[in-house]
Amino acid sequence: MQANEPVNVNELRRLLAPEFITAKFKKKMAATASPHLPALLDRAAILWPERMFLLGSQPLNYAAFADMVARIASSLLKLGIGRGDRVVIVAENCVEVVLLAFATMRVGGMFVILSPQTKAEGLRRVMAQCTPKLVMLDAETDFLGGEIDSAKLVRSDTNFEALIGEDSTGVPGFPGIDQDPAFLVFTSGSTGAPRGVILSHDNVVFVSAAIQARLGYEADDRIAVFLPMSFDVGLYQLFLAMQVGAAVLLNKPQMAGPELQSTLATHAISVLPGVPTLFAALIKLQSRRAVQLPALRVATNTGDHLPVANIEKLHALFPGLRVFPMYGLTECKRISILLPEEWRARPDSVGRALDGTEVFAVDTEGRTLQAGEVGELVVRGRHLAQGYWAAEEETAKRYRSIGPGRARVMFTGDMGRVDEEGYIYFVGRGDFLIKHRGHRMSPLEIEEAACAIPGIVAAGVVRNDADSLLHLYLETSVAIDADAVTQWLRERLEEVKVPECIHFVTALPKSANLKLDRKALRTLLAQP
Amino acid sequence: MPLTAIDLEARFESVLRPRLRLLAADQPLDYSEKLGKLGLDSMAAIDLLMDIEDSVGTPIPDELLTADTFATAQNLLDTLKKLAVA
Repeated sequence: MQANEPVNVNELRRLLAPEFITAKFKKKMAATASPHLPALLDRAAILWPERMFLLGSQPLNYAAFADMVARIASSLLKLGIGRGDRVVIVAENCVEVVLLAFATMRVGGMFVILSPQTKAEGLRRVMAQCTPKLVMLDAETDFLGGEIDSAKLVRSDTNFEALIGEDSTGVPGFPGIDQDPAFLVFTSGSTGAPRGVILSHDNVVFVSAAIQARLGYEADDRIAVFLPMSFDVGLYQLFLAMQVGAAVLLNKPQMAGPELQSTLATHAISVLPGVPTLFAALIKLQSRRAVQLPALRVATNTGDHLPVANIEKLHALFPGLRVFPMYGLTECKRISILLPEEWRARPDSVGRALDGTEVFAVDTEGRTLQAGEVGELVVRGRHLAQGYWAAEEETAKRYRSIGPGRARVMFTGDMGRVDEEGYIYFVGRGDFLIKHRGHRMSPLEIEEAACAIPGIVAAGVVRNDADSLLHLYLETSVAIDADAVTQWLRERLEEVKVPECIHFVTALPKSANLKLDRKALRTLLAQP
Repeated sequence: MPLTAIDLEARFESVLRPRLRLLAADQPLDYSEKLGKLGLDSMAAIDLLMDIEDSVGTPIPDELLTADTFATAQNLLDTLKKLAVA
């Protein structure tokens, strides 16, 4: 048998009573790569049945979690949900979200977790694209229930227990192959409509191992997730933990407020994945009153650039803390990670490409540039997603075959350079997508929503880097109240996408073909 | 000098309001509304905590730094009143 030949864990579990799971068998399991995520869970449940997976008010160890997942999978099969089917979840971080996600994958389906801030309009657009068979809401997102007519509806906080079957008999092994989609992550598409990035089991298993090779999570780690699971950084903590037998504490985002230090201290958190605002919050609180957090050993940053000054402050406040700046895009999850020992010499780099992957800059013709030259960053590797759900055209734009070897690469839309040693430096965005408060968004989505207001002729959104605010410029045919515009947008867009400043202009700058001139729009920012 | 409960009530809203991004200046503050709905995200809650400590002059003890304390204006005011009396 070859070293990396996958073990059919489901079959083995049925055949082997616990007393037969010998030390030798466990050693082999530990060294075996899991071909898909249900196998990764089975592996964890066999290797570390008693170790905690989920911490918090409803703690679950790996064995109990795997058992619950199998029982929910049994119910899903009875509901006719199987290979290739979609399950949509719009709920805040909680145990039920994780259970349903894994149960969906267990029957060969794919889950979609949307932000708890999702509005009716946003859910409608996602539902129309991915036509789920089951939707789960919670108390906060219950108002979306009216959007769901053709799918079965379940609530994480009221009738979820009905989904947990008596036992898991009759649940066959994983019905798919490692190329099957495991889940979709919705992100802003280039047309303004949300697009679902299709991640296969193989994508996730590969990238999780590559991330682990850099970050070195340990079995005793306790990981605090404050980011919503709709954001892949939060979601992947589950897989990163599962491959080493570590524990995850799920938190709602508001727990990252005044309670942050006590949450970290109470649960002896050792790993804190975050975005720059989370670390800014921690620095503020810790500078006000230092709380001893001896367990905290790893902090990983993504979403936006973590200022060098804040990395210095984290080092000063938490001696020995390993801070990892990272760079990624949902379309391949993670691109690069800078090690703490590499940071001092290259504070502006986002690190080297993950092992087994490649990053290089190309010119506008798609030709590979020399080391140090600035161009669009493109990525190669097994972590490249399968494309966008039911959006062939956008998929073909983002994922292309280039070069003499016709290699499949992903165009990031980011401008940057790669030095001779492979360190990546980010220069700016090459397309018109906006990065605001850690979220990547399309101005088109905001402009479309604004243009739906009666009396608005044209709209243009621009982010001002000077004040870090979104500015919306409106060309109107009648007098419109700015507050009414804000109110309208708030009912249709997630809060982060609602522009803070609204300006009325007689005419928006247009290019020769009457399209919005985004460069000229930017010059309006300088006007009072 | 620590504030009395009466001073506190008078100044409370002027400290709180600037941190509620989604509450218009002319809109009355509903003390039972979730502060999160009025725009108080986790970062704003931390800034509010610092504002309160600066203006009240006494630190809020760690055990009261909970999501519940910052859930509504009423919860927050009640907490501060207890501290002022103590």
